[in-house]
Amino acid sequence: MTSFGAIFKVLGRSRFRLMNWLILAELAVMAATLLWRFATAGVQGGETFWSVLSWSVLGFIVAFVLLSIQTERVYTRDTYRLLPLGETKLYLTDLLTSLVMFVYFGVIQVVFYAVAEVFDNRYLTAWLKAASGPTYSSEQSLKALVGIAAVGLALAILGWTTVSFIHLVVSVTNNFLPVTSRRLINIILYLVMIVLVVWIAGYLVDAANHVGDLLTGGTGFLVNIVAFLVVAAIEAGLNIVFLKKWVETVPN
Amino acid sequence: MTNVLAIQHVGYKHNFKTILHDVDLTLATGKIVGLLGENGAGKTTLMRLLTGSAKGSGTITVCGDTQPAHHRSHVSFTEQLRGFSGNTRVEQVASFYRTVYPDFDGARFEELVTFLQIDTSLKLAALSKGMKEKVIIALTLARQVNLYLLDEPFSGIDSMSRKRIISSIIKWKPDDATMVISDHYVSEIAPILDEIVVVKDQTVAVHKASDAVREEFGLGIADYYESLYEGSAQRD
Amino acid sequence: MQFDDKVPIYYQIKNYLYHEMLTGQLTPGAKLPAIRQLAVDLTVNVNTVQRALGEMITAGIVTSKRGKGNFVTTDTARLAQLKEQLTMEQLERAYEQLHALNLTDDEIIAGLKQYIAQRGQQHD
Repeated sequence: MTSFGAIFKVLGRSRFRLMNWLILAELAVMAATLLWRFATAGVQGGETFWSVLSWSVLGFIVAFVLLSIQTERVYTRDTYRLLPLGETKLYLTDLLTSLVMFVYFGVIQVVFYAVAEVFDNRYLTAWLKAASGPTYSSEQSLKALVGIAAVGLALAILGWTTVSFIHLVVSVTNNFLPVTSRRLINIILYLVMIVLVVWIAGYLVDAANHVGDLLTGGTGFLVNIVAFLVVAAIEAGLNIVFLKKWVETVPN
Repeated sequence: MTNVLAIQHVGYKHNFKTILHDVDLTLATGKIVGLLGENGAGKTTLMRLLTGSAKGSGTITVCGDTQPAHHRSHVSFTEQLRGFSGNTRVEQVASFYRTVYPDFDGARFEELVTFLQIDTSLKLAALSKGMKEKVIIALTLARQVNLYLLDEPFSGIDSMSRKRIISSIIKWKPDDATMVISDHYVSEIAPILDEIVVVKDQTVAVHKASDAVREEFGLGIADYYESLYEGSAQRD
Repeated sequence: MQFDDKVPIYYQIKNYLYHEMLTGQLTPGAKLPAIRQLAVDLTVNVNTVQRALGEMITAGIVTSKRGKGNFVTTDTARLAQLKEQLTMEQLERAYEQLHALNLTDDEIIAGLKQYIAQRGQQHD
């Protein structure tokens, strides 16, 4: 049997490299944006921070998509499916590897924010103070940050289990059904996907409304995270069953 | 345990089309078996079913175990390079193997690399067809397992590479391991086969010792194989 | 070495080794190559070589020494007997085929003599 460490190592290696390329690309566009602004209009207060933050948001989306592609490749490639280990271990390690790499990417982003914050004369601290009023404390701000990070991770997990779920259902129906029924299944899947996206967006709005809970100590925010993770766990369970019973690799 | 593989009532359908139907096959340990049949007859599918790469019906027992996840630690299959990008170097692939397969023997791999004259610093995309096949053979044989599955290792490669590959098979196949080699062109590997299995009409039509074919029918393996198809042509 | 795909491979390996022995490539008491080496040299299956050697051991032409390998027998009388046996087999085959062409024994002898004479001239 292949050990957890061994699979993590081989799966993580290429994803780590990918994240580093993305971080370099991000740094390049951030630097280019700031230099251009500096050369043309001059950099104003808050601008360094906001441009770092907006490029970083795009970076998160790209990181999520790149890691999704890497995660999904594992399920249909003999290179990975021939490894001497069970589907449960393969699936969970694959998901965990992407999650760890996403966290790595996130930590680097936090470093970027911190640097931008220093360069921008503590713009964020000032802005937060203004937004939350005199009751704001540094302990509460930490809570809020941890809460946002937690919801981000829960969403990433739910995102990946959903992408896998759809991918694996398509893969299974492609193997079993004739072409005409396949189209029907694809249409149903698109509908399911739209419903899911709307549903998650609804939750997100709700979660945003509950950010205040973090500061006041309410539980609504936590409930949302738990709900995301429960749905993700159900999808993960189904995905593992699909892998065990029906999902085939792409023949050479 | 004298049987490395037992297949009972195995069937496989793809998009409602039957590829294999009610296949029974038992292979003893220590044999080199030729898996013959036309292109699309289901040779690759049969191999894929053994590792769980394809999902069918029926019972497959490898080394006494019926779980596909357990099969994979007994089986070394040649379908593995697809997951690597073209700019991966051969040595990086070998390092992947060393990490994930506890039965991968690094010293054996080095011997095979020397014998097959492989340059491990080359990128996968830069390999010729013959060289790629040699790399696959070296990786597959460097694992120490009970069952080796070689899917069409000779298709479209030059005769020098072919000879080297055949020699490496004779040299490095462990005595107690069984090796299945699929091919639709049999004459070049006929002398090294202990047994032949012919996949025809969605099932295993023939399973015989090759010397038994020569003794019984006074025919070469290639001629015998062709005669199976002439027979059905006359019936039609 | 090229094999005739119509004849069992183990039989051809046996004949090949007999030929080596009777022509002096392998002298009485000589050590045979290891089984896997023979298999690689001849491009055949290890099991097939094993079967050929097994039959040669049973026939007393090859002796197997545990841990040391296989050797051509030192019993020269047995080797002479083998030569006689192989000669008889070839003669029998040739005789039967010629007989099947409706040749009488005298015609066969005369034909053979003439063939040898002609062959000798060609080779000069």
